[in-house]
Amino acid sequence: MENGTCTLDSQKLRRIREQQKLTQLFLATSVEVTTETISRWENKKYPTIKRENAEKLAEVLNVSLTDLLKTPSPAPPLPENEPSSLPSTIPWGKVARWSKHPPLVALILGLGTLLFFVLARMWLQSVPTSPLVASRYIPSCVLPGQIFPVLVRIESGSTLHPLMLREQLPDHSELIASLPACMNAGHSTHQLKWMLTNQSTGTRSITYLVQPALHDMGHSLEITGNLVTGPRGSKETEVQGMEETKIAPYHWADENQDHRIDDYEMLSVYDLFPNGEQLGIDLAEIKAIWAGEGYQWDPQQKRILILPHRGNMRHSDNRH
Amino acid sequence: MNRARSKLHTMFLLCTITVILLLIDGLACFSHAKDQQEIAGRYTVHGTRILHKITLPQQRPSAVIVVQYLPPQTKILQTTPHFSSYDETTGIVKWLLSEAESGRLNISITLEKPVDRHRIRAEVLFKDQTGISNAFTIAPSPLKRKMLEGC
Repeated sequence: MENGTCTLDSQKLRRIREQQKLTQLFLATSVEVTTETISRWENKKYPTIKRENAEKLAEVLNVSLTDLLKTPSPAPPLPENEPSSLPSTIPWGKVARWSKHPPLVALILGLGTLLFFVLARMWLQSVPTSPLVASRYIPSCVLPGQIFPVLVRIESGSTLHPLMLREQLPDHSELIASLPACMNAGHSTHQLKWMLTNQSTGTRSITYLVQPALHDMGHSLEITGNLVTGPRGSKETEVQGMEETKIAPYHWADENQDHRIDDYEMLSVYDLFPNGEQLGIDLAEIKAIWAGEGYQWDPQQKRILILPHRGNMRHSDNRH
Repeated sequence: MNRARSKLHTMFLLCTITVILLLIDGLACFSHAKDQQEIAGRYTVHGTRILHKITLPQQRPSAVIVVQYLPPQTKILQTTPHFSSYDETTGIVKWLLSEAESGRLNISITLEKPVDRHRIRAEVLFKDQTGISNAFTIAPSPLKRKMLEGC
């Protein structure tokens, strides 16, 4: 009994009413409730009703209030292997009530699972899962003495530490330009360094232009590098991808080495080096080769000759 | 009756929550897919004038090449913007558009003589975000983008 309510024993109520040969209508009229209410009190096992109504019921039935109330049942015996502290905290009545509605429980569990997956999916989409990866692009061939671009793409998840990219140029070569600026540009060193500030996610690109001093066909130029991160530079990751380019009579943008720059090679230049103009790549020359018939390497004059179109071609430096 | 009504309310509430969760999930997918709009385009021919209307996605490629195939020996009076190359013997006109902004891109071509709309075609070449080469055929009615093999 608490807060002006009390719990009836429905079986006792029905038994006493029937013993006294009273109808539900009589009882309902006497207590001033409806017959549906009396029926509910008698059919529900332990209905909770207002204390005022319970007292009226007891008075009408001429019994004491305690005769109508639920007698407290002894706690169910514990299994011997159960820990003794648990049973006192488990709401047995609630467990019993939930177990009566298996579809509802299943639905709630299903919804919980769905919510979990939706939130997990949203979290996975927002948090980068890829590890720190750096890959390098170098053209497979370059003309003797021709300035060529190098691209290093760094794909990283969230990192707590700053990153440093170190690239080692071959001896017979020179750094011409870089984006972002190289830390030790202008120094007579072949180890280039870039410090990258913390960035929560995404791909970072470092592009630079190299000019080889070698003019002998067939010579190879090798570039290696690594990415340093972690507390006090404790973690080194090797830059993957291409490491070598060869001195050959082909323009660096001529990927298939057919002395032409086709449409897709032209698009590759922009795709790989969208900031090419800012970096200093000679885009006008590449466009002229693409718009024309092709090019040839003149070993005597050490320069390329752009072959004009055979048709009635008019080329313009098209800027939209 | 009240008990049944209460159950019905609970079920209704749970169903509403389910629908809301599915909507949230759907919206997340939609916002992810929104970034991957494709290039689209069509052209119209009015006498000696050909007009291309090309739609570029929000995350546009670094550059696109528009290729117009005209009948050989066709004389061009004017194009806007100016073409990058034109081979009159083959009738192939090209535009390299590297600074095109997202949205609509219009190209107009004025020819010396009217051209049969069934004797011309055009396409947009570009590299998508993954670096794969693509070609979109521009036609009087838009066609789907096709993937080029071996590019």
